[in-house]
Amino acid sequence: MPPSNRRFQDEAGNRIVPGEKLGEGGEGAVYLVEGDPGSVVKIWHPGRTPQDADAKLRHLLRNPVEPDLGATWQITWPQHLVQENGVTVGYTMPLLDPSASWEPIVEYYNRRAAQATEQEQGRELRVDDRVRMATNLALGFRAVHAAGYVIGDVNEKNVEVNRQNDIAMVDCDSYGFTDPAAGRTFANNMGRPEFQAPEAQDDYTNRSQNHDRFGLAVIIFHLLTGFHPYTVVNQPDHPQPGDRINAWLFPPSNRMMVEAPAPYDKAWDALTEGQKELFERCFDWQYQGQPRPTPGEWLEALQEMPSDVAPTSQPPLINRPVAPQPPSAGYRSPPRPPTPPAYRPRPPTPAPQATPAPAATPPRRGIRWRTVLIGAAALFIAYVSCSLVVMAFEEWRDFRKQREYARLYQAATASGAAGSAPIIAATSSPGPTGEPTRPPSPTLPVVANVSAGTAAPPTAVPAPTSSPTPAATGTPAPAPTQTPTPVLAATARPTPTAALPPPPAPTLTPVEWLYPNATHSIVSETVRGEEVRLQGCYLGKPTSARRFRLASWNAWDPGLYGNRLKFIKIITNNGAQIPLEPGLCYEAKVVKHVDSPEEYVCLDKDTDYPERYPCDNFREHEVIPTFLLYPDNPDDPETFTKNLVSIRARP
Amino acid sequence: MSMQDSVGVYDTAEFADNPEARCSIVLILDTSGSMSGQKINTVNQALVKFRDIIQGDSVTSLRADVAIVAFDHEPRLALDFTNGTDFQPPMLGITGGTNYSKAINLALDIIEARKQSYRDSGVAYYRSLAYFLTDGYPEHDTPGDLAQASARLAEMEDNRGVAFFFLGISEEGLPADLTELAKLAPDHRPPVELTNMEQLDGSIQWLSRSVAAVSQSQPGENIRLPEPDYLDF
Repeated sequence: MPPSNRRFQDEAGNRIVPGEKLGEGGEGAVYLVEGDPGSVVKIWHPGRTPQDADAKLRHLLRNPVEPDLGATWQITWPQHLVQENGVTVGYTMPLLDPSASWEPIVEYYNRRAAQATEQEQGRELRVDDRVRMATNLALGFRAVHAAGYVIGDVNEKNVEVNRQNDIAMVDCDSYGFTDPAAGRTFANNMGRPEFQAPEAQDDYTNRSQNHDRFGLAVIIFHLLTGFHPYTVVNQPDHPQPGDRINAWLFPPSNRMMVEAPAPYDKAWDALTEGQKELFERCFDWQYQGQPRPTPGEWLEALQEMPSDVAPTSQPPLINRPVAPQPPSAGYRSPPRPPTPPAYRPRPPTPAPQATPAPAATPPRRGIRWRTVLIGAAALFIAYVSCSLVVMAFEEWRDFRKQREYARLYQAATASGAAGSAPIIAATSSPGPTGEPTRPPSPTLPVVANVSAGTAAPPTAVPAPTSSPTPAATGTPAPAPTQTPTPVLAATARPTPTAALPPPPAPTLTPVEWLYPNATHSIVSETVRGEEVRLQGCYLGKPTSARRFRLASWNAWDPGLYGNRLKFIKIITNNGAQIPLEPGLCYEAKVVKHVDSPEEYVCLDKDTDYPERYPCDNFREHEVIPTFLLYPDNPDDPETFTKNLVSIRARP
Repeated sequence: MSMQDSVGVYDTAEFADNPEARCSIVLILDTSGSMSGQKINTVNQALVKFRDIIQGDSVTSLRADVAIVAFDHEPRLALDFTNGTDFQPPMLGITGGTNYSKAINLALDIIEARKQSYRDSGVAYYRSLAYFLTDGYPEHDTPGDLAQASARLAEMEDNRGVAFFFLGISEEGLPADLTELAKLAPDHRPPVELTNMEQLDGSIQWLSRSVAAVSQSQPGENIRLPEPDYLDF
């Protein structure tokens, strides 16, 4: 039921009428109180009233924590019970002055949030502001502890700060205490791991004021440095804040083992010795088991300023929406006389210079990166120049070979081998053109490209069938007698003699095998729809499934993952197009001159991050490398058609 | 070059200015043709409410890092990881096709890269959340792809690196293919079926409250996600 339909009374029977709702959380909602402008009322959701709420609240009412008049800290202490039909369902507390710009303390100590806070409040937050906040917080803690309470759930939303750097402690109904009259302890079991002491990480039910002191120190650390004390780099086993606290990963006490980011180190170095000592007593595992610094000790250590850590140079956030704050009731401060603040900072002593990173913490990161980059650049340049040299050499060698072939071809065609023209035109790759070869065979008007890497001499070699007798002419004696399989026929000889049999007219069709003796063949298996996967077969033994890119650029799918291309057709080098039928197996053999290994890609099997590596093992072969290729540039069909020679469906 | 080369390049100043522990969230949203009309409108509006809830709490907005992967037959990074304080949801439009495994792999990649950024700069981080929303079938996936994505996902779940939530929108006469989602989803968290737009809207708001859980007091160190009450619509 909405509150207006319900009847509420305080413990004395006075009527309480909730007014406008200020906010709502998981537990309950907070409303203004009609007729009492300085108060708000918190009403728990039905069924969400905490256990023992009545007993707890009565104790809090009898033993309030009250700041002095003019104090720089406030507390939204419960003032009256709110009951409905005799059952306690909420309480009233003071309203924090809305015009004072109360915000959770995280909006001040987080630099990013603080930029917006500065803009909203029209002031710059400096070190002395934050030290003042820390001091006021210590004052509040001291009073709460002096009254015998345990806060328990210390966190960055339970402490608010206004534009005068005053502190307000809120959500006090959850404080824990021991009631000697009732003979029992009332505890609060809620918490946020990043503010909980290591010994309390696993168990929030048994907390003491010593645990509160850990949380206090965490907030003060945030205020003075901008970081959580347990901020460490490269700790994959300790990702969450609670993990790091559990493992005592506090960089200042453990520099050999853990590393903090550079801004953290800088901020730590700017702290005074007194402050550092107190932090170590809280966070350093060597001090475990010992009582942590009390708020009184903090008050003393905060009387000196840390050197100002340079603010960031980021511009303030502009369009950050002002978040509607959850209810924050507060202390109704009487019209405050212009009293001086309780804390007056001493004139800053000639503080130890904010030395730019003393030798203890050199910018290790920077040097490391630079060296690495320089080394990498040098290696890269060396690699590139070596590759260029190698490529240039091979180009030169190919060029020579090409000239040689051209010359031989000229001679061959001059001798009447007209039929070989189309073959040569068909393989117009930037390497040596095809040359008429082989003894005539009914099925194999073969065109073979010789690998640039082979040692086979490009010059003529006597063919078995021809009568080589070199004596016929004064041609340069053929080079050594080795016979690479693409044998050059005697027609390579420049001598236009009738002894040379004319090579048969080739009939190059897309389904012809042009090179039967390849060591590789590829068996395809259609998986689904238009997609084709090809299984390799090496020296007659099937390899595991390798995916090759058979590109039809219409269906090119250069996805980042899987590179699963949709092959819908093969386009051969004479322009024929073969659609791939699902369910059929295809064999393909390709003949290509290996100009540059980068044009080959073998995809490693079944990974979604294929490694590109050249199939340069095939360069060793004297036979033609026979892998399918895919074009480097899928938009350029010519690259592809230059390379692919034939493909056929397997019967 | 993998996607990891281009994401995860963080600005050190970002983490120095805001070293709060992070909860990274990836919303993986189907923008194939079948999502057009009321569904994508609901998603776009829900994203705005998501933003409002995230930014409604000081600590949540500083701790949330939100990324959005929109996918059809290809995934695209509609929004790289953006801190909650700056988060503005893009308007998502409709394209075509549906491929699940690429989108899942992209999401897992950017999560891993983001966590590396956190580790490099000392930022603590909570378990990532991933919210996968679709209304159709994985028509562009192969069984091998789905199996691989599922295995990778399961491994990250086992390491408690990510909590993946799969949601399928069904409409009368057009049920979502929950069987495929069930294969992808971890065993202990089967896919959820959304049957109307209120549930869809509610599920994205539930996600924003789940993110906000990292900024709320809990009774123990384990962060509990809110109840998925959006199915009550």
